[in-house]
Amino acid sequence: MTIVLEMTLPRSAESAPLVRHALDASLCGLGVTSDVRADIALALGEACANVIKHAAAGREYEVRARVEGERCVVEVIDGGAGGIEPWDAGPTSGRSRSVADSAAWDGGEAPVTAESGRGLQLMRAFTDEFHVADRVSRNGAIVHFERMLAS
Amino acid sequence: MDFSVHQRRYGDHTIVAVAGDIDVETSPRLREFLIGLVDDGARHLVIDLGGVTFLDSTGIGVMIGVLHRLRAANGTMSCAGGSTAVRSVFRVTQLTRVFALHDSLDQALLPAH
Repeated sequence: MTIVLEMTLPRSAESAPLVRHALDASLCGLGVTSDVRADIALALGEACANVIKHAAAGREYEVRARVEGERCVVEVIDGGAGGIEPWDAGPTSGRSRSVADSAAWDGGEAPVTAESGRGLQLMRAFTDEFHVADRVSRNGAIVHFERMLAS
Repeated sequence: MDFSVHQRRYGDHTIVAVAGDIDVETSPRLREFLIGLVDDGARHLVIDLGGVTFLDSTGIGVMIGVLHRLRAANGTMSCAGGSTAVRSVFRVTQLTRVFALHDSLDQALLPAH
């Protein structure tokens, strides 16, 4: 069974719990364990928080999550208005570059006493695959992560 | 669960019980509450995470910011309880190197602490 969840959200702080809880409820319904759901919620929450705090362009952003067999694939897409490329175009439609270079993220490992800069660290730790691609033409980015459903 | 934060005094300690999600939406409220306590003279905060259902990097940032204020005033901060998920955020970000994460509130309030 393949489940697809797509949400277009206002770039406001209230949108983060909304989409987190929506995906969590769907995964719960599929019987995904609470440990795995917690990892996915955290990664999604970090991606949304980053868009809400840093994204320059666009008043809305999009979250697409799908469950395919044994994995959950999530993309958080910001920047620009109007048409969104289909799933398959995905991150490869943008210029790929290393996450640490991305100005939108705080980059690198934060000193342990720093107040910010832990988002990337957490996303890396709680996902099985994670990357960020620019959408240069739209002044935005696509955060892509995957988490195996069996812990 | 709705976000809530309550305080109570225990000797020199101020216990702050947080419930619900600590995230990009609620972190500003937590920051305001904790800074208010420090401004009012609280110096030894124990954050009870027992009711916390979600913790992300913005929540961590708030705690670190408050810790800096407390240390500047010779204060202390520790945390207690928390779900497996919440505790794993502490572990990954190595927050346990910055302040103590006790298994329970009782343990956090032992005289030695």
